[in-house]
Amino acid sequence: MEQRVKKAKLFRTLKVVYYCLGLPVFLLAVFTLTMSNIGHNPFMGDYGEGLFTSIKSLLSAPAMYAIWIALAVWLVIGLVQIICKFAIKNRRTRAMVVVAIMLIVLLVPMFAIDAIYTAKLETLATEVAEGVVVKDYNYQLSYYRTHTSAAGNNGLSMKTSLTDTLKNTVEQYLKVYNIPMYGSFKGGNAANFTNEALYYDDFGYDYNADGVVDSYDHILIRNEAKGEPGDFNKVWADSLVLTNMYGENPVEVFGNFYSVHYTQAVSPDASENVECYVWYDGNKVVYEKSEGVYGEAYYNKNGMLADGYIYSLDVALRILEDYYQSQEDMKALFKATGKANEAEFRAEIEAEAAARREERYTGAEATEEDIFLWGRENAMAADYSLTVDELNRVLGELGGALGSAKLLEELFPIINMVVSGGLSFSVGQILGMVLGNMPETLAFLSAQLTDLVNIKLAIAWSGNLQIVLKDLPGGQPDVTIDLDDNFSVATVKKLISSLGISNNMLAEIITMIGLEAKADDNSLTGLENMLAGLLENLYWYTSPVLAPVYDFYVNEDLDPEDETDAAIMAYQEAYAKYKRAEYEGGLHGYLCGSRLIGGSLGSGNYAESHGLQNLTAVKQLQTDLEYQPTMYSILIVRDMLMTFAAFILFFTMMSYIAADREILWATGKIDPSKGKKAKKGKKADKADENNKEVA
Amino acid sequence: MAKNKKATKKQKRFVGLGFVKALCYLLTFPVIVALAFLICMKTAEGVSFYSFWPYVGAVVAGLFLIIFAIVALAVNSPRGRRKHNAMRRTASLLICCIVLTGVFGLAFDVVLPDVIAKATSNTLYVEDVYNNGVDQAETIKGYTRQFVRLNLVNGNYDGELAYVTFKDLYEDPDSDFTAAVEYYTDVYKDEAEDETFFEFWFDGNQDFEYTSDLDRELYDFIYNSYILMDYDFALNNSVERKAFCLALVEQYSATYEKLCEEGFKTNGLGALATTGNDRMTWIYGKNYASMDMDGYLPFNDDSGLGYATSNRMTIPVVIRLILNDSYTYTQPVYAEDGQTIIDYDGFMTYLYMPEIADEYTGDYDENGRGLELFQASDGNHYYAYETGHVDAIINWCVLDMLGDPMPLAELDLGGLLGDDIGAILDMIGGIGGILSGQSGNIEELLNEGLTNKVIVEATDGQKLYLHLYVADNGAIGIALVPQAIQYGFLGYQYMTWLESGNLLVTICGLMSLRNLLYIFGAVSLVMIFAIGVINAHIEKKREELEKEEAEKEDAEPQLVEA
Repeated sequence: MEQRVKKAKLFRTLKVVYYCLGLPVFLLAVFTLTMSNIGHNPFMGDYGEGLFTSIKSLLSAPAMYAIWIALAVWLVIGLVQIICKFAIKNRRTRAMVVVAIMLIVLLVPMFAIDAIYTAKLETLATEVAEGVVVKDYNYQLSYYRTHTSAAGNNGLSMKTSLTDTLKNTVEQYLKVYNIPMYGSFKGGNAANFTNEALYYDDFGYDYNADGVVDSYDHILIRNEAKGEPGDFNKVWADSLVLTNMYGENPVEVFGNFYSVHYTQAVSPDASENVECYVWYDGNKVVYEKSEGVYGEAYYNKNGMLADGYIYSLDVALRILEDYYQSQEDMKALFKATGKANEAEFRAEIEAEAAARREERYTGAEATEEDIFLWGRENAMAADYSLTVDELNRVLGELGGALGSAKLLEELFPIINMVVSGGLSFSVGQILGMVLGNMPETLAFLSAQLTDLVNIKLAIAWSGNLQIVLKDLPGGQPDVTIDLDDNFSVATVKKLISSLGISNNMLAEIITMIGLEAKADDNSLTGLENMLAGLLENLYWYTSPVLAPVYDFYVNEDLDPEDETDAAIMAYQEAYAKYKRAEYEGGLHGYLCGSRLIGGSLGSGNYAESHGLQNLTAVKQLQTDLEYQPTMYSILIVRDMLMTFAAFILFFTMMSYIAADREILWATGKIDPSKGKKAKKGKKADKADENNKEVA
Repeated sequence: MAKNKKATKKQKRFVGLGFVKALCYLLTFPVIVALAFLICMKTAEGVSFYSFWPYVGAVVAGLFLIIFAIVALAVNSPRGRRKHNAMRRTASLLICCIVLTGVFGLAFDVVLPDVIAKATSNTLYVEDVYNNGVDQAETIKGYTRQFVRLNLVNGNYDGELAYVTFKDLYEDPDSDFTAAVEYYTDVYKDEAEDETFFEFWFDGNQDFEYTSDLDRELYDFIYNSYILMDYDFALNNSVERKAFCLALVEQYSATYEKLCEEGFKTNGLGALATTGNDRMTWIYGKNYASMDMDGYLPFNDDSGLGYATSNRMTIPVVIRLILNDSYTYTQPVYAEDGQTIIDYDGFMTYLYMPEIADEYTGDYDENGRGLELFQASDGNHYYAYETGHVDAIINWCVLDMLGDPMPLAELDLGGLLGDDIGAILDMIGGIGGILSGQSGNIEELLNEGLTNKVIVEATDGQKLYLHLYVADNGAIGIALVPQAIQYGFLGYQYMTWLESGNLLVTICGLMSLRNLLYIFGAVSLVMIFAIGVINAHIEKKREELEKEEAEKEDAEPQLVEA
């Protein structure tokens, strides 16, 4: 009896142990391999703010697909076992049916994954652009994770798995372009504020509680904001142009603070300038992502990216794709346009587009809203842009402040005592420090101005701060520049001329660092014109409501049926795409520290050569991101299904056998006397009997 | 009577179940063996000269089948059936099956990868063969064919089949070969696209009896490695060069197919072999020894070779590897004066160089090899053969180890400079004949001057060819070409693969077994379990039957007594 109980307990334990060595070990293996992908871009999905959203985002990440599939397999097998438990009474038949179904459940997903991805990759390989490589399924299945280590070869020939290659590539470009993929920045969720002025609806306060936000509420809101009827330039029902009688800024309305900007606008009949108050909510964000030119992102109403928007990787790649694709398109289309000179043609497109845009907002068909917006936004642009006159004023202020600084006045005599000959630096060294991150610029300068490195820049004091250029080439006399109120563009011109840098050379340097500059001649006027053009290009205020000039590049008056006109329109469209991408990836990126296009990338730490250099590289990365994160995760479970199928079945069968034995022992159907020891005992007894008989 | 009928019915059921059991047994290891055999057959296609080696995977599977069969027989023997019940016997078979399939599969995954990488000097990895075994075997076979092509067209195999021989024939306007070129020129001009031309030519033309794949392979090789490297054709993108290539393919086709089929199988004739695979095998053995001892081993001492094989071929690495002075195994043997070289102690390379061989004026031995070493007009020492071949000393270059030309640039000048230059390029294309006429001067400048003088001087004897050519798309190409290609060598890695080709195809076949073991191991386990369930059922039914019969026997004697 005791032996029966012991045996039954033994087999019960074995039953559980065998089961645990099957599916749980399989799941553990899948989990272990999946861990290497969790937390790594691009295997993680979009980030969500808040606990539940972030959990949801983690659970839906591509890295987790392997675990979900493995759990689904276990769930299905579990359900089959439960159903069979009740449906089939005979233990052995039940075991057989379960095992047979398990075989199907384990192997069919494996073959299905093979079939689906083989077909998918074959199709993808035919659809991708020229130069983009999609390796066949067998190759990717073999190399998505590697089995061979670098043992014995000093690591020189170590094979990197495709998964690691993908991770490294993505991390590399995130770093270069300074696209944050962590925390709330992931997916371009953060910093999506807009400079769009407020409308009535933005206050959204049903002041009189009648269930509707309408003009009555607006009047009441206006009163709340201390405006008086008559002082208020209302142009149309949807806008909000409140006065700000108190002159304070910010203004509190219903517990929220708003900043108010005063500017000039144009009256609806364009007859006079009017005062205009523009209200801003500093916390105003674009709340929802929407589909736009570059896919899902945060956009202003006019279709441009939201002012503070920091790209997601997908959007950045779309911008770069447009940037390179449009250049190829223009190259292919230019000949058909019949134009003689491409640069002139482009300038013509830009000029005509600007004119069409102005016509749209001020012409015969413009509405009151259009006219008002145009006036207000242009005034805003002027308020936030820097002209040459303003630059001169700024330089004058700077010169005056530095030149007569009390601190410097007292310091310099001491410095002169300590450092004989005064403070002096090599120009070459200074430029090296400043332009060190832009080696091509420095190389250019070094090549052009071999004497530059020998020029000394000395700081001196003679009642005011002075910059003295010494050791000028060709035995030229020292050049002294006073820093005072008269410091201006002209003074700067004298300084850079003394260094031997012409306006043309300066323009080339500026172009090298990613901005457009062109010098007409080497005069002061030429420099001022160049700076004016440069500052115009640094259009610091971009209207979030006016349609961008790129929308007007295509001349709709041309005849698309005519071959030449069609080519011109196609070229204009490509050029619009190019300029928009150049702005969104260039200046927009520059302003938020994630520059995609231009002299130095990201936040300025990487030269342009570190980025994606051409359309093929961009499309390759886009294609890889399209399928590899999901596929490599699923291949983990496919691999483990193949490796563990036999072991799962084996241990499940052993578990059933142990269960069978447990029942047999527990129900007494196994006679302990028929066991080995009993047999040995019987044999011994028989031998004794035989011996006795003989005796 | 009724009892007999019932017994027969039960016996029939047992027979039926026995049939099911037999089917289940067949669906275990026999399926694995059959599939392994099919895979090995595919691997062995085209390399019959590797005899049984491609079938090692099937042999291993067969071994597993035998082991399993022995265990199954032992477990299901009458003694085994007496000792243990059906479920216990099933457990034994399950354990045997999981060890032979799952455990060995895991061993392939855990133990073998590093072993194979080391055995193949990191030239072949399990990742290359797990799911791509057959494709990888095709790649290896491809190198065999490449070696044959290289040594066929350069004349090493037979001087009469050398490219230079046909070039000489082409200068004779009355030769059959010239007529063939003219014929193909006319035919080619009628065809608009390359692809349709080949479809027409290789599939539709009754004159060609050979496989179009091999002929196409031959065409591509001759065109890229010889036509575009020959200054008589390289700078002139013309129909003539394509037609010339086709005529050559016609000459080589039959011999090429035969040699590919025979591969490196040898019947021991060795140096005396004049035709067939023996000769190709002998050429391989002799030339590989030179590359190995005087080429690879010295470079292997230089850690720079590791950079060359791990994607670190920067310009400084290349320059260092090219210019480094390294030792060679083969050293000259001097006469008593200490100046005159009378022999070389080591390894020489067998090459077809009729102009050099013709300079020898001495006697030959019974193998047709010159009795004495002689110094040719180029300053180097050779043994000459009657057939126009020589035994030469080669100064190996690191690019020879890599084996491929190093394309430096292909410039689409028309695209770069816009349409203004396009018209000029068209004009140049139109006067291509003038450039071709200057081919001698270009060749003199680049090959004689740059390669044979400047580069040889700088590298102490190594030769690199700087080639200019106009590609079919009109772009101008520049490539750095190592001498190895011209002399009939693949890169060192691939030459070594050829030496152990049988090992490599074995690995391909064996590693393909891994997937079969995992997948059909699972199927086998289910089949064995099914067999166990059937056995348990039969046992139970037999016990019931015996019990019934025993009870009836006990009942019968009572009736008789009454």
